[in-house]
Amino acid sequence: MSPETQMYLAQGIHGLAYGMLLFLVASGLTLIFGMMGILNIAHGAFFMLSAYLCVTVLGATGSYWLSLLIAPLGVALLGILVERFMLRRAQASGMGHIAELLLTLGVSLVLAEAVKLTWGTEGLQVNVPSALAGLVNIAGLEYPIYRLFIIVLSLVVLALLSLVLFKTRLGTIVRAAVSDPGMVSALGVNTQIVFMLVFGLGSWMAGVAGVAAAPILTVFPGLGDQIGMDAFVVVVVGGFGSLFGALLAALFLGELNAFGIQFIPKLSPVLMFSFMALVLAFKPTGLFGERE
Amino acid sequence: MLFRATNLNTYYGLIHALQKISLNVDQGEIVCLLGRNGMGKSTTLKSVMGLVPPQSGAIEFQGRSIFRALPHKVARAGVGLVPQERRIFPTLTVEENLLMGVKAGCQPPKDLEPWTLKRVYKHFNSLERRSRNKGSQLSGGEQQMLCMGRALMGNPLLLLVDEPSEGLAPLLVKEVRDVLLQINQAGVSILLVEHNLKVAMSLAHRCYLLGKGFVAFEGTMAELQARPDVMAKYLEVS
Amino acid sequence: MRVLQRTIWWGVAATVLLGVTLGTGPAQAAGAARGFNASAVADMTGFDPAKFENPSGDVVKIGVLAPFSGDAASVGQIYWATGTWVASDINRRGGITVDGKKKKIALIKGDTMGKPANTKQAVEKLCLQDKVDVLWGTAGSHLTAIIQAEADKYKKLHLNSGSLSDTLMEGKAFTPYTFQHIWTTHSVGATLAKFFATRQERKFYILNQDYVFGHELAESFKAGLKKYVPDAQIVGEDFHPLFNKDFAPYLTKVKASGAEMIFTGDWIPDSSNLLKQSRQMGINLPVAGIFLDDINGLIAVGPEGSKGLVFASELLINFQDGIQHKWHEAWKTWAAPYNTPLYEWLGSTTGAYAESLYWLLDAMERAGSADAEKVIKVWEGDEWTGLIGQKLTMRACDHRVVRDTYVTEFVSPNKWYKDCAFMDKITTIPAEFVTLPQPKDSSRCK
Repeated sequence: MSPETQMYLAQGIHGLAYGMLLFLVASGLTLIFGMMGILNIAHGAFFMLSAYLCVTVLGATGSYWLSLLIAPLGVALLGILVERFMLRRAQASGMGHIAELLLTLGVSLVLAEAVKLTWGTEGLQVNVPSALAGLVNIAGLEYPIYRLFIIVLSLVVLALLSLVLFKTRLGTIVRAAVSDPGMVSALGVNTQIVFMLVFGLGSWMAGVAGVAAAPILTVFPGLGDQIGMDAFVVVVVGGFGSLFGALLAALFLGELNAFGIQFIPKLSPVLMFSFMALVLAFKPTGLFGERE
Repeated sequence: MLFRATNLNTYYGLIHALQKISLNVDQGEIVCLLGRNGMGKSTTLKSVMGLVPPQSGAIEFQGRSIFRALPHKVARAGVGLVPQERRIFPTLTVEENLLMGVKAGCQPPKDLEPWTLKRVYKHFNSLERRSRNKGSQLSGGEQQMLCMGRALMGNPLLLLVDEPSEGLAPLLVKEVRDVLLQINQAGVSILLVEHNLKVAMSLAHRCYLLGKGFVAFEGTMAELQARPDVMAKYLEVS
Repeated sequence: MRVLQRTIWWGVAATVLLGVTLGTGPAQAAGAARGFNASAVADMTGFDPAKFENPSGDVVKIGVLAPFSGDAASVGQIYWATGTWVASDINRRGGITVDGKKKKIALIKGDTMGKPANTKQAVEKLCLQDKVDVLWGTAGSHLTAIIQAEADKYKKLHLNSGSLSDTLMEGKAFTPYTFQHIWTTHSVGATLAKFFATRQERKFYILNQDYVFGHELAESFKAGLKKYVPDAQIVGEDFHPLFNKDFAPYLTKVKASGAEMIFTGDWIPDSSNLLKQSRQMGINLPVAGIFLDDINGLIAVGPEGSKGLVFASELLINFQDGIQHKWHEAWKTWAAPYNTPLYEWLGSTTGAYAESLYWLLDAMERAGSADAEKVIKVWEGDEWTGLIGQKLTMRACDHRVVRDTYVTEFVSPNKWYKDCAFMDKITTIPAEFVTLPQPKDSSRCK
């Protein structure tokens, strides 16, 4: 393979890795939005919190794999508590989605401050687990194993998610509730429990992404901000509530980022937003969405 | 008495949509809600279902209160809803839509034959062919059939049916009418909102005529027909 | 040449040492070599920035303008930790003599949140409500420009220890109330270019943050190379968003460009993420920059990943020097959660912040007053010995510091850290090569 081909292949895999990571974050966001009509501003903060929990579990156990197991579960539990004891009350307040939006904004601010009090403002470092350190040769291209692992991990989560969504009764209920939660409850399903579980599941996926990203990034209080914004773009482009749309949009935006930096670096920071504006101009519901 | 609502008051914000509405449905009855657009017919069904919780009043179903109960509790008590907009799940297949109607963990009523996929397909022939299609791919008539089938899968004792013939071709209207009659003969009581007076006359045993949020007339269909003045005042001239 | 520079440098250090031995504090020795006196630093046992309490009574008030919340809150922490260190030291020594009596130092936070509107608000509160004597800040030239204008309006002393922009003190922007202690982007570019003139690398890739500072620094480095390394080549130049996540697409371009050295003005967390991700990708190119002394980030890539890095600063502690070593040992007595490499390392950031405050307070003491006009008179043209014994001159006409600068290549093993490569030999770049020329458009500079 010529060095130039290698470079393009590398950019392609970079885009895939970042795109899949973005999908992990965006899928939770889009599921929550589709079902509950809530734009969860705290989603990026859950991502960030999970990376911090990863630092702590890693410090206590020395095992990255235990961190990958425990930190997202911790975040999922927090998500469930936030839904059960805060969001549900905000919804009952009758103030509509404004109350929920403000509540999740509040949760994200509180989390950012809580993280500073617990772990300090200093950037923390997580190492790539030794089993995944180093490079692998892909047709002459030396590529970091850990970035491939991010792709594989995301695919595994995607497969699990598809299994639950398309092969179980709970999955059918979730898919139905994404389009019409009121009708689902009129058919005898306690949607409040489903909401809680989905909020937990969405937070868990943000948590998995947080732990997956920790070894390539510095863990600091602002960690979730940019990825939260990127995930929002993915959800808008893919269509609110559409998982398939989120997957395609995340992969497309990942590649757009990598090849944008390769060919038009000066414009790359705005490419994503320009594309979002373009999609909204021609299809206000997003590529695969039904709602505006 | 299977179902009794007493003095229901429901608000949309500041709008007093239902004003002391009282009505009842007996076992085996088809009761029709009539009235012009915006008089509160759909709101009555939504209030019963718990989708738009009433402010005050009382609702009893089989002697137990379901007043301000959450929709899933009302459903699990034995009430089924066929809403006006049909509200088919567009991304689910026809079969998945039907299975969404199953109330997991609920025993079907003893004296009624339980509804299964097979039995629904027998009643609604067109659905079986379309079982693997997405809800969004169905025609209006098919959606109406699916919507009724979905509600039946939950083995309701009382079915709330909102404007089933709306937007359907005359042939389909007749089919819907026939199916409702069959369902009723199978032992399901029906509270029906129907715009088409002919359909209502041919189906219902009794009716309630709604004015702006209140009950203007109640009685049998024959009694209604004897009051052209009432009909002229509260029904659309057609 | 370099031997000569080092000799001079040692000579200055020795002078301080001598001054210390003779017990002549800077305040007493008016006219003689004034400067920082490491031996005079109080016993700092038990110092804790989190428990800093402002003294009561008649005090000198310093308003600390920094991002105490938001993404850059760690920068605010460094300001606070350094500020409280200097204030605690001075207070433990009894304060400074101002208006004929000893006054202690009080610090008041002004949270800029990293945003212009909040910065303006914070300055107004510090000036009007808290009535501070000095405004001290901050990271971000666009924010410093706001503080500068406000300081001029309220006639408050303003010490800029955090914004490197070349243009802050030029033309209409100049105000006599502001002093820029920190070095400028021109000096950074010239320092590294002058350093590379003596080395082999000729192919450079510039990778900076995409905002004014990143672009200004890139231009300065290119200008420096043009002057000192005419045969150097810029093989690529990219600007990435602040707080960037994925450096891989940039690094793949860097690798394909055939660069021998990456030049970056990135600060944390971007600088550490850039380094970490390049090493994870098997790209072991050296990186040259001015914020590479983030010890956490260096440890994350280990001795192998951090060796060969080229680090430039306006202040570098020399391990061999007894007094500097003692000062650094004292500096390391932070209590949790500040007992981490970030704060323990008296690096370019913490060291320069502290130095600027010590100098300001010394000028104030010599002026015998916290009054802005009187301090300005003393500080303009002031010659002072800095934290590491180096000669500093506050140029009178544009309030910028004339000083030597320093470059070092990280090696492993080294005397500082065993888990990462770090400084050993320090190259001094004399002031004449790196100092920004006096502004031509100023009537003050003739």
